[in-house]
Amino acid sequence: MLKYLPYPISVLRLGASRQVFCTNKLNVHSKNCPNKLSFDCFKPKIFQRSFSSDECHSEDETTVPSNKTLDIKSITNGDPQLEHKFKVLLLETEVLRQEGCRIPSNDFLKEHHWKQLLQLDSKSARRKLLEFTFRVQKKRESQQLKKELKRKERGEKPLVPESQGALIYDLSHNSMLLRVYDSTIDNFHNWRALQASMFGQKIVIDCGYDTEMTVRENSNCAKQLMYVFSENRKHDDPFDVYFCNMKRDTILFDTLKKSIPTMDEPWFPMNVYECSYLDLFPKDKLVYLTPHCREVLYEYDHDAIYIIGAIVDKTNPEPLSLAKAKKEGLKMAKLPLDRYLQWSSGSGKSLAINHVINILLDIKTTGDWHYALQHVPTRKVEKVITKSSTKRFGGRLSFDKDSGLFEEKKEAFWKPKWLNKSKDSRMKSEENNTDVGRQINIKKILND
Amino acid sequence: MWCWRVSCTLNSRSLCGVYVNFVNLSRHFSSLRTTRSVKEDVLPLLLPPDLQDSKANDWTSIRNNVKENKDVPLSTVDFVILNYCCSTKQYSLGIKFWKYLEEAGIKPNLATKRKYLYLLYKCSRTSGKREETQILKLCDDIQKEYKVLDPTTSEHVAQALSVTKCWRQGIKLLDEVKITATPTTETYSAVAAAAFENLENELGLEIVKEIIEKDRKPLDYVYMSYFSQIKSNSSYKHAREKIEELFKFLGQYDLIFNQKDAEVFVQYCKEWTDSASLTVVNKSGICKSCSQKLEKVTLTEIEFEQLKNDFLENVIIGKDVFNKTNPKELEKLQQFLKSNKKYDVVIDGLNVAFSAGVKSPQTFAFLVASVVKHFVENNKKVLVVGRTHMKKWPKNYWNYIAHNADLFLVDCLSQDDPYLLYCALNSKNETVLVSKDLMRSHLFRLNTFNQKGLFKRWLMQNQWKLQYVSKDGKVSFMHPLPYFRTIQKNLNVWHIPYESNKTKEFKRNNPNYASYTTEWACIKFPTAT
Repeated sequence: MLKYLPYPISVLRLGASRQVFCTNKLNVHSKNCPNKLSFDCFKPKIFQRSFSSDECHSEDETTVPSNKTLDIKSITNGDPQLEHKFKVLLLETEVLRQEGCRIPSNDFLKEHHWKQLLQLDSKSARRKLLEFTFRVQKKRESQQLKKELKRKERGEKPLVPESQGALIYDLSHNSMLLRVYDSTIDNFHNWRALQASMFGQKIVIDCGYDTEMTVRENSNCAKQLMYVFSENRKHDDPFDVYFCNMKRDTILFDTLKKSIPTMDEPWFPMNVYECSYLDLFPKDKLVYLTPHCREVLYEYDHDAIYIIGAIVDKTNPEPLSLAKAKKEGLKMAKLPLDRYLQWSSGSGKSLAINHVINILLDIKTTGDWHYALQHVPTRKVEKVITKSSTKRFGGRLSFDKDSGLFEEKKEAFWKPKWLNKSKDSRMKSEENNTDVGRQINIKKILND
Repeated sequence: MWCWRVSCTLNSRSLCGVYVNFVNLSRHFSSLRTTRSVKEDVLPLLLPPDLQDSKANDWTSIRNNVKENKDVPLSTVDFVILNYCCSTKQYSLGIKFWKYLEEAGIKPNLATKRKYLYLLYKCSRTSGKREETQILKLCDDIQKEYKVLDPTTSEHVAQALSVTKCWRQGIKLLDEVKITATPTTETYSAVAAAAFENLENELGLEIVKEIIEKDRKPLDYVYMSYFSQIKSNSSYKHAREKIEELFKFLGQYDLIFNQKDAEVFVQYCKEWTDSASLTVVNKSGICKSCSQKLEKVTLTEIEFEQLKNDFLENVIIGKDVFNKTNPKELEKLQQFLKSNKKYDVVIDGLNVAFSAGVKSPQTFAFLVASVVKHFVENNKKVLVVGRTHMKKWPKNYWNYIAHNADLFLVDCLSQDDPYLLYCALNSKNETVLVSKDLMRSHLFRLNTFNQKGLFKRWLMQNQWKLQYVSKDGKVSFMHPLPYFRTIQKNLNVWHIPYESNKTKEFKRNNPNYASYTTEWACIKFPTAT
């Protein structure tokens, strides 16, 4: 519950004290230190008040010394114009704070925040970013509070009764149940990814669009790439994923590196290349998956090397991947979304990169688009255009033969039962390829 | 859950933190969602109802009231109160509050100071009584205290200074603002108005130009100060020259004015003219008030050529040729245009085909063939632009189209609209373009304000929209208006297009209803003798 409350109320409930920062008059032109800006001039006064007490405190303003200094030179690279702009922004944030806007405290604003602020050239854009950062700050503070509260609730660790030489049988001591560590699971998944790099089908993620995206889009994209990696290696039969055109020192790379710090290690099963896919693979095998083309991917080709463009295009509607594929003379294809799904009105036909990789993973193993396209988010789909094969794998909708109506199933997502069955029965079900045979087969499964 | 919602709404910019005061009221306000209603509904409750006659101790009690809750620093409360006075236009109340602050010896912060400056400026503009000494003192204080100013403060200072003798500083401040943000229309207008008032016409017009090129309209008091300056010191001849100069200047930009602007024009021009009134122009372009016929404004050859080149560069090629087409196709187009003569009509094949909705290829081909037939029978030279897949249409109609019109078909992966527009632009100035598309995405690609204006002008006067095709192939179009909506001089009469508040509201309620405003201001100068 606490998680969903905004900061002030949650603190109120906790009965903890609340602090409101307001700063003294600002001296942006500090004379003594031309390059280092001292934050001593922002010594925040803190109005402290506990909500439980009724009595009014007189203005008990305590000053907290803050020795934080920001290195202007590293933010502005010694550019006098930027330095001037930085000073202006500093004053702007301060006045916004005076107006009662939700602005994070100066301690919280780090170098990268200022760098990002310097790039924005409208007041509202900066205020939005500051407000967003404020939320982040408050969220972190309340998390910290919750953590401490939990620690208090938990109390001290119970003392282990001293045993005189004998073993203690307990979950955290000696037990026959082995603990499976996170690292063990990790190693297992990595092993799968390594196997795929030897025997699996290859797939390319084209990360060369970072210049076309905004900062926010770049970081969203990096997050999706992280999901691509993790969801791929979790799958029964993963792809051998190549991240191509990945330039170092871009926002995309840095953000991805933040979430996967080991991605550069030689032992890590992740292929990151700065070069293009054209240098790695024969051109005739490459197929660029782009939503803007006209060819539809009805038949999944197990020999082809599919390319997915790593673009988050919230602001830029241009067909970038189409242009690239056209320029390089590659084959193109798009997912058969229109054939199997009825798109609900108002939602764009764009999919996240991790959704696309999930779809491809499933189409590769099942060969059934109805099953694979379950990874399209439900909010985007009005209804599934059913065919008999949906019955086989259990789509989101099933066809009631008697009434002839589409009936929604409660479970939105479930694995086909035959996946759990032994290999023999799977072979059998594929032999009964006629519709009647299939129905009988389904009845059998249901009876089971 | 109600707590959550209320805190959300109340955490608006000006009220952040004050809400603890209103936990009891919160149920009442839980239905309010927008910040605007919070500002309007909650603040009057914060302030006592007889605020108008409030004395000093009332202010103390109000501030104390907030202080008791201590959620927000007192300095912010001062800002909130001043902000409330500004937004509800109770300027005298704000001045009273400021007096109280001074008497009580409370030092306001920068946020409060700059809001008060804004209040003084608004007060001076509306009442005419100028608080020069106070403004100058406050501005001086601020500028001494801070060596750099943030954009909003600079703007408020510039606005306030515009009603004083130091208005020239505003221009410097505008440049200062431009480093970190775009100045608001209000600041620009304030400085421009100050320039006009101080007889610096050229400077004022330059600032007005800057506003217009940012795709905004100057506020009405800019025109007011322009006219009032004429009124105070000139003869009839001079006044007429000055007025015509303004109209000529504004005529370059195809603006549609607000009702307020039009009223200002009419009101001030009445003194110098035979008649000046707001009127209506009928469909064939005849003004009801002076029965003059309004004219078309065609592009000059140079403008036309310039538009053509800009279009090729920005729209078809753009950042990457491959986005919309490919280099081979572009070359094919150049070859095609070289070898062919100028066309009278350019038809957007696919737009015409789909104008009846998604139907069979038979229908598509029939529609295009009917349109082609209509023009061919009138002895026009016709070009149809489309995509290669159109070749698969039923042969009976397709053969007719191919025989009677020239074809330019692009790849299925390319966009046909840019080619269509380029072909039309490459023909003659008066070539007709048949398409229902508004071409907004292509307009957006043009870079400068000037280019956009030319393109709009050309499209508005050359585009025919297909309305209806009967079963026996008779075609009807929506023709462009026989006159163009921009400031124009017909003999001695100036016509200025405007949009009344009524029309604006109607448009807001019916966004899909395509209507041309027919409202004009008609200003008639006596014939020179």
